[in-house]
Amino acid sequence: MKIFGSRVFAFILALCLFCAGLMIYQGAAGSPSPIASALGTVVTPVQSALSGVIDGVKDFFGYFYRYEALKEENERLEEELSEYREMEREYLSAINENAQLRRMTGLVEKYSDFEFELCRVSSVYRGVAQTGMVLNKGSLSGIDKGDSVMTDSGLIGYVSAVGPNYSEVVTLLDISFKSEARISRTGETVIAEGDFELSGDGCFKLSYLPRDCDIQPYDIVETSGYGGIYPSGVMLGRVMEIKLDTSGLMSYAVVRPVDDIAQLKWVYVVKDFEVVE
Amino acid sequence: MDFSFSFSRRKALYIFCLGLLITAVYILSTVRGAFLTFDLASVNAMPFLVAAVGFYRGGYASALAGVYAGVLMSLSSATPEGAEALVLGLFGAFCGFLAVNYMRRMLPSVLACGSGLLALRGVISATYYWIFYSVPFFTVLASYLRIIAVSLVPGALCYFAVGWLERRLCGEDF
Repeated sequence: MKIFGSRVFAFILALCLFCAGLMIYQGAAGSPSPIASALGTVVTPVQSALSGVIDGVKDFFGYFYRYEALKEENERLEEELSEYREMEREYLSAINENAQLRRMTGLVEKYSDFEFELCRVSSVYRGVAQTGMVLNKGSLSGIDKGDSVMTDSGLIGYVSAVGPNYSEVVTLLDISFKSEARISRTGETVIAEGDFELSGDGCFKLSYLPRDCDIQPYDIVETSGYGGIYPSGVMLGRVMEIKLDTSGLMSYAVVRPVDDIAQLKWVYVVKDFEVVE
Repeated sequence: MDFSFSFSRRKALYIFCLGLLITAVYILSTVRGAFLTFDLASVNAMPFLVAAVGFYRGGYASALAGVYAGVLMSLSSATPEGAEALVLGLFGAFCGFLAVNYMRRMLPSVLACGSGLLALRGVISATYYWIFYSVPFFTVLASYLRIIAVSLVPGALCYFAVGWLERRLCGEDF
């Protein structure tokens, strides 16, 4: 019984109570504790600045150590360019028309009902089964927990926690990510979720597909908009292949996201959008 | 396990520098594009740093350092901040206990303690993902072994950094 009255026991007990308090606060409030918020407020700008410095250094030195590769690439591109110049003359009118159509269906017009917040990616973390990122803006910029995160190309994930000047994002590759999605070509509704094995290759999967499902490689997967969590019609990725699951009764599709999440520098947080189901 | 509460300027400076070191290790471990991440195996030098504090300063100091490190680490992971802080805090206290009773203050001891914690987390995670997500047990465990492998060198650097701080800032009257 002597141990219960000792100073060490009191210290360990205080430590456990403090940590339990942090967990209870986070669970009840749904946001980081004031201590974590304060630390995040100080640390995130440093992370962000360091990311900028590292990007700058990599870009600067990349020119030197990739000189030979760049030279070869330049020669190859010059050859390709001469071929394409020939083609350009023939297809100039068609290309112009296509460019006009592209502009008409541009990002801003397509998502005119969205309220965007442009954020810099401070850090990307890839754990054993977790893939997420930290952004340099938070609740002070109007970002809320659950907001969708996307790029010009498509959806990246959602905001899982918000501090005053930073946000944590769970990406499509995270094992905890799960959402309804839709195959653009057929309109079929499917379940998109992160997968442990596939996340290493930068992919996620469409689960529980019937063996005779009408899904083909290169099909576009987009958000369904059901439930109003994610905006409808935002691209998630392209189907790479269809595989049978371990039971052999169902199949699943391997999907590659539209962006390489590890390489992202800027993303948009969708603060508000019109729910269309 | 002595941790006197008579506060000197040098002690305050030591605590500040230790906090700064923990923060720096956290930032270097998580900043995008940093050299401390190798594919799926992210460097996690924090257990080694907490263990080093335990072996130099004892259980109380390393437990507090562990709690601080845990709260920081939770900023870049989906783990609840209290859980990470609790794990590293208790780990720090345990390292202090080992330093007093069973182990000598030397690099292999710190590396063994840090690796031990990561391995334990690997086994727990592997069991969790095996039960709830049907992920093969040894696949997850192998991922943690890779994390241990890439964390050993930064972990050793943390040990030397804490030792350097100790020599520079801690004297007989500390």
